[in-house]
Amino acid sequence: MADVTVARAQREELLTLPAEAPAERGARPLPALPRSLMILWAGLVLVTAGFLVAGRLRIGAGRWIGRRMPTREVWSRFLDFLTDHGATGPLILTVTAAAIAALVIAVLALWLALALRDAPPESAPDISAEM
Amino acid sequence: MTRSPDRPATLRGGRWPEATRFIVVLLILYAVKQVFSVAAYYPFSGHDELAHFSYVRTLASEGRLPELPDLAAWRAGLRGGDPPPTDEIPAELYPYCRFTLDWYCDPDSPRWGDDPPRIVTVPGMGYFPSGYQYAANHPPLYYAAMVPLYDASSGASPVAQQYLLRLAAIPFGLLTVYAAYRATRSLFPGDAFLTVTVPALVAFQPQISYEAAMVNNDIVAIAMTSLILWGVIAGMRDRFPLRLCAALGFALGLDLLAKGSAVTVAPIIAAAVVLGAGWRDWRGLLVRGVAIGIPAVLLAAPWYLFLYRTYGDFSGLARVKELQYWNAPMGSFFELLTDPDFIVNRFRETWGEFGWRQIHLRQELLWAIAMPTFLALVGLAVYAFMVWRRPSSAPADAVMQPEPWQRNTLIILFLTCVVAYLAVIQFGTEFALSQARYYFPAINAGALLLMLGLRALLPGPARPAAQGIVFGALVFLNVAIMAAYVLPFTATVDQRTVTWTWGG
Repeated sequence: MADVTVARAQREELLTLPAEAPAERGARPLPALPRSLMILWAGLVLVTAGFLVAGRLRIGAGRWIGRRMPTREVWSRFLDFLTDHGATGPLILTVTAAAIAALVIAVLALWLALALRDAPPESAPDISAEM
Repeated sequence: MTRSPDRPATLRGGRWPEATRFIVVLLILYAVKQVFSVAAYYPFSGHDELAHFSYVRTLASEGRLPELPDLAAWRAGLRGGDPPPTDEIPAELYPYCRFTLDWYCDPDSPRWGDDPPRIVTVPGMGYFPSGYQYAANHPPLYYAAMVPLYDASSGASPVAQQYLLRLAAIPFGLLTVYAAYRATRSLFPGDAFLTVTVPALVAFQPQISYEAAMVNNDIVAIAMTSLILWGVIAGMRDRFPLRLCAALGFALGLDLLAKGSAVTVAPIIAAAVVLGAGWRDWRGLLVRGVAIGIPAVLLAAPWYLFLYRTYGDFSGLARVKELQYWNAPMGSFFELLTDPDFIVNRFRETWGEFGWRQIHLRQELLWAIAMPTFLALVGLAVYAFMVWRRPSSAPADAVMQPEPWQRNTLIILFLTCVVAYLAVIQFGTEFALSQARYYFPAINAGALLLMLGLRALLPGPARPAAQGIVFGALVFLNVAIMAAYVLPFTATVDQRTVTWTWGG
């Protein structure tokens, strides 16, 4: 019962997640990863990048269904579709930028996902009174 | 939300906790990928997107709610040579008729191209309206929220307006993902695996993302139910303080104004309050019930009175049934409960069937999704067994040794999923068009339970890698679906050589 009461009195921001415990670690723009997780991160990024740049895939919908096509060609045909339907240059640029930005941010998010560690049991964060 | 004064949140200096940094980056990623998704899906190809768009148009241009036609009055008018005015999907949108439920569709026909059909004859059944606004019995919250944007873009083409309205769905998706994060942190505060994987699964679940990139009211119901579930978890922990109860009632009222299926959330809240506050404290239960019920009823009552006055019931579904002669019952409750095809089709719709059931994911891909899902369900059973046994020698793992309130909360989350699924079955006993998306509001409960199951199968040291692999796999799944299905469909669907069948 006492544990529960203590946990309820805390807030997420006050608690010691691994990232904020040592001051020097908290100052880093990105948390450090062990070598094995760094290799995993690099592997996942390379596989996805390779698929997008040089991969081919079997199309599952639309007029090309069943065909094997390079991913890049699918992308360029999609941009052609936007152009044919009257999308302006800035609009196509925005769509392209959104796709690229999403991939870049996903790479960063993957790093953060790999870096997150369990909080020590005695300092488990809570968000009571925030709802 | 409150914030500690001695630890201001700031992007500089890395002073945000890592979990907060993760969710902030995930939310930014979600918003950006959704902007891309808005453009990636073919115009008006979302389920009922044309009907939802037309509803917004009626509300914006005429300042009133659309109504489903009364079949008897409509036929009587037709016999007199002049059918009563019907709230229709605008004729200029007929080129997209393949994405509607109830509009005789032959857009390439010279006869119908300029003057779309509005009446169909069904042998043995008589005349029926065609191309009417069949979503007119939906509650008005979403549509009313979209009216300012529609008005502001009134000079643009319908397609451009549709893209703008699609963009306006993104904040509801963001709310859903954020609620998943907060729900997870409320239930298992210090667990990294769940903190990463639960919001990630919600953010990258293809159909939830689809909802948050189209013109529709489902995403509002999903967001509101997600907020309610977060509140329920907080309430289970804090024994439902009155302020929280009032907030839950307010959210329930909005949920009921977003979609009628939100009514299934009410018994979940009731069960949670009884479990969380204790059934012996009947006075406390009564006060909490009033605190929840009053705002919910005050908000939702006018709409339901309108429904009753207009259609004679509280859903309008009797009139839908009358109009949609083809939308027959799928079977009895127990037939559907045990029908493997029904289950498989709901699974297909949970992950694919974009473009109003015109984009079917391949078997291999469905199996690739089904296997880890099945594994997670097995893990959940293992977790339940281990918690039930609660061995004293278990290692110190807060998730594996939940407090009583956490156990009760997990029961409530499980109940949420069960009720949501049974509601889909119940709908199937009335209509052929029972669909997986009707249980999407339970996504956060489902994601939490599935990831909890997966976690139960993982040894502690493997979890950091596993949470990255789950995240990476979800990203890759989205990339693959976009590249192999959505973009090829969008780029070629308006070419005449594509055959399509409604209902897949």
